[in-house]
Amino acid sequence: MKTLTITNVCKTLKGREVLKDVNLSFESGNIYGFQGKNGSGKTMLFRAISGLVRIDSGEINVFGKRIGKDVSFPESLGLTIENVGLWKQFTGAECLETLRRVKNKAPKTCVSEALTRVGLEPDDKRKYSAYSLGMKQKLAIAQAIMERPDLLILDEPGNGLDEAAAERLYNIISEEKQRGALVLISSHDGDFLQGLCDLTIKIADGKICA
Amino acid sequence: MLKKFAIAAALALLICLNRFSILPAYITDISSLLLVSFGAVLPFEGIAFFESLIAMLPLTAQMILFAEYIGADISTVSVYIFSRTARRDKWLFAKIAKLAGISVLFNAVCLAVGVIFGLASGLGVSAELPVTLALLFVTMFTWSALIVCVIAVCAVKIKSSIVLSVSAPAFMIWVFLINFIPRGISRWLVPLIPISNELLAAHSDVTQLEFLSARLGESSYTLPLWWSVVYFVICASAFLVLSRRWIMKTDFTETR
Repeated sequence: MKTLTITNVCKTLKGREVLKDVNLSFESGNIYGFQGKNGSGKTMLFRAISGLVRIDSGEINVFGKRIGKDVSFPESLGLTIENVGLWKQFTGAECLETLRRVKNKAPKTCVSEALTRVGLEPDDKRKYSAYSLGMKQKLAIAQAIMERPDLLILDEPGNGLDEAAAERLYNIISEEKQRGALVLISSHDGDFLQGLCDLTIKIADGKICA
Repeated sequence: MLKKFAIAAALALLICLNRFSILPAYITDISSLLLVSFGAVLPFEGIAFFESLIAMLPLTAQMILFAEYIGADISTVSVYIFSRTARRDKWLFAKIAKLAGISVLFNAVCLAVGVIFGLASGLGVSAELPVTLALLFVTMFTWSALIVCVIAVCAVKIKSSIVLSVSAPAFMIWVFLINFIPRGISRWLVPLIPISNELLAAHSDVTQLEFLSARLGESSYTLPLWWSVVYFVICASAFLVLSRRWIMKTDFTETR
């Protein structure tokens, strides 16, 4: 069983403690939900796990490797972070293909497969700049799942999605769990998390509440 | 990117045409025209501020384009790229290498415009034209590469528009002020002069360049060639060490 452990993690940004002595443990093949208000520390915790920010103290071990020491980021990671865009001059397929080429390990077909899974048309010639909020969110989810990562971190993935798309997202996350991936997901929607997650964690002011 | 590059090339063309439109009497061939037009001599002749600005515009166009290009990647998709690559520094340096390649093309276009304009104006093609082109290309490209790299790295941490709004005027002012720095000091700040001298010295028998060679030689005294090499090795090493440290330790906490 692969595990992700967070031990005594603290992070201060501009004099404000955004993560306070966080201790958590996760196992692969499970879905863990994070619930909390804006600014509670959910996104910062996700960024710390992803290696995008350096923690001030503590340890984050992902599948046996310490982030920031053994590796600079988890080796098999799919990530969506709120409010992060893609190349506005590219089509959805071009954006995903550009990202696929960074690692260049997954086959080219993974791009169209991922687009189809989230409900986007692989041959759509529209540029990213012409996408609606919902389409942008679907594309962000597609880039996260396309390389079949062992760790999937989804920050507010339901934002901008209509009911049908939210249901599709629900199914995708469940499929990823069945595949054996460890899924960390945050959402304002408590009902969405309750129905989907194996465990829901509440976070407030950078501290784990329950 | 290509569209912007085309706009910048058209802008450079207009700038070049503007600069070539006044042909002093001593310019009788394309080599002289290029040397005067692209600043091989001008910085040591106490040129006017406006002329300095015009001379720097092609380079400034590159700075704007490149900072925006790399800034766009960093601002929009850094999260998705850096969660996929173990070596942020490698990614950044690959980007810089790509920009350097584009810089080669850009400078080649600028020089080609000069040659075409010279031919259209009926100026002669002398034997020293290849040497002149090599000299100018090395000079322009080296400066472009150095400045563009600094801009690119700055754009990683600071919004590219801020980097540009500070660096472009600062660079222009530096180029202008160097005219007023005593030559004993300024020669150490312009390490490309030894390379230029070597190139010109190798072709000292060329009569068409006698006037310009004399001006270059007079203004730079006799700096050894190795100084150019050492200068750029030091600059490049310092740049690589600092930028690597910067990119590896940067927190990507906000969407810019």
